[in-house]
Amino acid sequence: MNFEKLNPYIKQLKVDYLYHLGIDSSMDLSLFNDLEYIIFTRSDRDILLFASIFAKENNIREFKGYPIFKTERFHMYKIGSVLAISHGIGSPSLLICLNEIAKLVYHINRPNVKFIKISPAGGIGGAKVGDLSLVDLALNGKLEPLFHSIECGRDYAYSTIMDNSLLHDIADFLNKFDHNVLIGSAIGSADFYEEQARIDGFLPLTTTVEDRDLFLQKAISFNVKTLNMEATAFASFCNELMISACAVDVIVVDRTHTDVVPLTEDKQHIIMSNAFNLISKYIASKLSAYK
Amino acid sequence: MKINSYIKDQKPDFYIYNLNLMLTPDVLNKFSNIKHVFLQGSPDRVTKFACKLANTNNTNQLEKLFVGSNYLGYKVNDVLLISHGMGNTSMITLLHSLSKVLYYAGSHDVKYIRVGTSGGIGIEPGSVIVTDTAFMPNLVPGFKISALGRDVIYPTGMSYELNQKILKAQPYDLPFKVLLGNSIAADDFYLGQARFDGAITPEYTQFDREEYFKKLQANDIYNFEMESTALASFCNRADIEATMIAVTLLDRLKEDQICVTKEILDSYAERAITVATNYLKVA
Repeated sequence: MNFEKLNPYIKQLKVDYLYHLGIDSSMDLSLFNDLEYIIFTRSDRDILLFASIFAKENNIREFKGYPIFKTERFHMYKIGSVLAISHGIGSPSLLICLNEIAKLVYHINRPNVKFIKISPAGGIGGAKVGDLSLVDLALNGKLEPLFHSIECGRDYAYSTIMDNSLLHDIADFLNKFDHNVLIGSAIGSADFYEEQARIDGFLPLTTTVEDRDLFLQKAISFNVKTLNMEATAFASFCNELMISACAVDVIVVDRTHTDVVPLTEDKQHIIMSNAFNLISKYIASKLSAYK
Repeated sequence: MKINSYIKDQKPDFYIYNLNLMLTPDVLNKFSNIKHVFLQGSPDRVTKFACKLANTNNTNQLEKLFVGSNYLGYKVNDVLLISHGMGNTSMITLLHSLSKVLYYAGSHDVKYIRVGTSGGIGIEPGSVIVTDTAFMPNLVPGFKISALGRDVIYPTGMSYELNQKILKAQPYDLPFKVLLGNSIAADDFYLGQARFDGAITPEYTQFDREEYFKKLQANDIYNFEMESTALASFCNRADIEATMIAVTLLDRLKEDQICVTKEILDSYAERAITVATNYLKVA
């Protein structure tokens, strides 16, 4: 993160209340002095799974599986020099998390902390269930590399074009495992159904099956491999603060064949565990390189 | 309740991903008599309200629903309580999935009521707002869906009749105000709600913010939150009566950061529950 890009108002606050994390800047934050990576994923269940896998992989015996600080909105775990946090569904929830985590990173003075987001997503363009796709570009529903926001009543558009150095480092490592890791664009939508061209939502259809297929084909021509609900917000936020970051999409449904996620909880567990295992190994390799 | 004709006659024996719920005859039977759904932001709040309605302090006496999903629910008689997470995206994802369950289970006369917290705009903290119309942050009384790259804006008026019932159910001697007003649903807690304490530097100035807040007040907008437009537009399109009851935790004309004690916050949150419970007694 480039602290010069951070909102200067934060730097002059006597105490900064990170309300949803349950942390404020006057607390003893020395727990975070060794932070190197922050892992984000959607659900409380998945973030505990990541934290457990990382702890096991790295022999961190003191990990007990209890989240730290406030648990009302997000669940946070510290495992070695990794902070893992669940951010909820959608850009609005993710942005609350990112804003407060970024401010935390400033307060603990760790500008080189890297952000990795690992989320379930729908796959297209050859992406199959269980594949990982590293997001090299986040697009909105109009296939533009922009994230739109309304601030004080006015429209703003933020670029989602990120520095992909971390992405390439992760891709190089994962390819050593001979794992089929894709690299492609992701569409960030504001809803699971209509904005992801699904026709099985509860509300009356406003588009036809043909419209949907045309839209997905057009997305494929833009090298889109995944659709999820946070891609553009994550990319634009990290770009804005020059955070070294990468989004890893884990495909849970092949959208070229169906709208319905075909996996029950057990199968989701296996697929997410696989992704978390690979990223844990990546982080472990980097941490041992630092020593 | 009006369902998408494409899935109306589907046999309800499939897995609902966002609720981690397999539809079976037993599951559908469980949800077959629901009259009210109370939607709240967090699992903790839902648990607290469920315990209150079930008259118990022991959460183990209540069956947790939708475990393993991003949402937590409880059923107490003909009331379903469920957490919706933060933001319109989380809310609308829930509404699609939940409404399918209730439709296939036969609960077609259900009412959806969000009970939550918000930032007041020129309102005494601790006041409860019942929403008449939900607004987008650019002051459009609607909710935008961008399907296949095309933007459509849907109306976001809450249910007039339901609101009147809620207001009339309140006793005269409540120690706090209950007001009918409009709400604004932002898509972000910081820049989207004109705060100055987010991580990203705002483009707007203090003057811009004051002008913006004046426009909000001119539209009778009493509070900021993050889910009302998704709720209102979905329920209008699905023909479900709905509204929002939200307590204000602070006055945004005076401050951005929520730094009152947990005890005060909890007591404020309890006020929204009180208003909802008063309505339920006479519903």
